[in-house]
Amino acid sequence: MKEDYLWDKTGGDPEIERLENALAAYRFQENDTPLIPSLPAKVLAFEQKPARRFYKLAFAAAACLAFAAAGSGVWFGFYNDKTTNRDSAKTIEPEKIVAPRNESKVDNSPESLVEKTEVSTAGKDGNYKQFARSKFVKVHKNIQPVVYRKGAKPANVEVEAEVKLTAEERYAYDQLRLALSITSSKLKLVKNKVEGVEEKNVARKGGR
Amino acid sequence: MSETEMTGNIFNFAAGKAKAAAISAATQTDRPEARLVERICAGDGEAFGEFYKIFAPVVHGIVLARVPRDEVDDIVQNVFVSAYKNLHTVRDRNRVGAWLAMIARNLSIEYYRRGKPTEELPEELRQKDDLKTEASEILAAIRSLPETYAETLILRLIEGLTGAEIAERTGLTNESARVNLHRGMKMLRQKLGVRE
Repeated sequence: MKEDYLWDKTGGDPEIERLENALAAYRFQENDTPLIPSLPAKVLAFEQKPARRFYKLAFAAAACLAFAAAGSGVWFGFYNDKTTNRDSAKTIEPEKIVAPRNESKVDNSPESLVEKTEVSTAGKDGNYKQFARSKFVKVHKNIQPVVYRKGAKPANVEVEAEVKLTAEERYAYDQLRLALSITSSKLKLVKNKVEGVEEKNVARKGGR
Repeated sequence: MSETEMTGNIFNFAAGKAKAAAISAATQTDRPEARLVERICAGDGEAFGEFYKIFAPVVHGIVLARVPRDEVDDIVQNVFVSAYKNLHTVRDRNRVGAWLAMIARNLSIEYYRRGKPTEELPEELRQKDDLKTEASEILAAIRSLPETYAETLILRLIEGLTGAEIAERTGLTNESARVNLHRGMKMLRQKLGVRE
C-alpha cells in the first residue's frame, strides 16, 4: 500500500522510491558534516532552574495578592461612599465610634465636626450630631477608628493629637494596613509552599 | 466576594502552580532525549555527540526546506551551537526535538533577514547550475508547497525518516505527521504532473 510505504516504509511504492533516489544527493551526510566548533566550556547547572521557577511563581503570586489587596482597598472605599445616607447605618459600642442614626435631622452647621457622643444619647434638642460631612459609616467591629474632636476631650475617647486625619481617612488607612498584612502572610505561605516543592525535587534528583 | 474567599482563591492558585511545577519536574526524564539533555547539562560531551547524531538529520531537513543548499550546513552548525548554549532553558525535556526544530526555523528565517550577500559563480559552476537537474526540480517543487508539508516531505523523502520518527523528533502528533505526508505528497504529485 502506498500510504504504508510513505508512512513507515512497509510494502513498496515505485514512485516514492524514485523520488527518494533522485533526492538522495541532498541527504544529510554525517561524514561531510563540519566538525562541531568549540562549544562553550561552561554549561549552566540544572539546579538553577528551580530558582527561576520559584521567582516566577512567587512574583506571579505576589502580583495577584497585591492587586487583590489594592482592589479590596478601593472597593471598600467606594462601598463606604455608596453606603452614605442609609437608614440602616450600624454603629458599635458608644465608646468606640459615633454615627448619627437619624439622617433626616442632620446638623449642617459649620461647628459640627467629628464628635464623640453616646449612641443612645440624643442631643439637647433631639438632633443627633452629624458625623463628618453628613456621612454614615459602616464600621467593622474589630476596628477602632480614631475620632478627632473639636473642643473638650471626652474621657473615653482615644485621640491622636499629633496626626490630624479625619475618621474616614483613618479608617481607610487601617483597612489598607489590614490588607497589606494579609498579603504578606499569604506571600509567606506561598513561598514556604514552593520551597517545600523544590526541596522535594532536589531530594528526588539527588537520590538517583 | 469576601476577603477570606478572595485570599483563599489566590492561595489555591499559587498552590496549583506549585503542584504543576512538581509534576512537570517528575515527568521530565521519561524519554531518552530527556535523559540525554540531563547528561548534557551535567557536562557530558559524549551525550551531546549522541544528541547531534539523533537530531542532525531533522535539523538539516528543516533548514533545507527553507534556505539554499549551500547555506544549509552553516545554519545547521549554528543551530546546534545555540542549542548547546541554551539547553538548560528547555522547560519540557521530553519535547526537546520540537524546541530544536523551532530554533532551526528561526535561524532559517534570520538568514533572509540578514540579507546574506551572494557572489557570482565561476563559469564552470554556472553552467552546471543551468542544467536544471531532476533533483533540483523536485526540491524546488517541494519547497513551493506549504511549509509544514514541505518540511515533513523533506524529512521523509530526503532524510529518510519514517512518519513516526518525524512526529517524535519534531514534536508533532502521529496524526498530524500522517496528514502532512499524505496531503503534501498529493500536492507534490500534482505539481510534478504524476498520476496517483
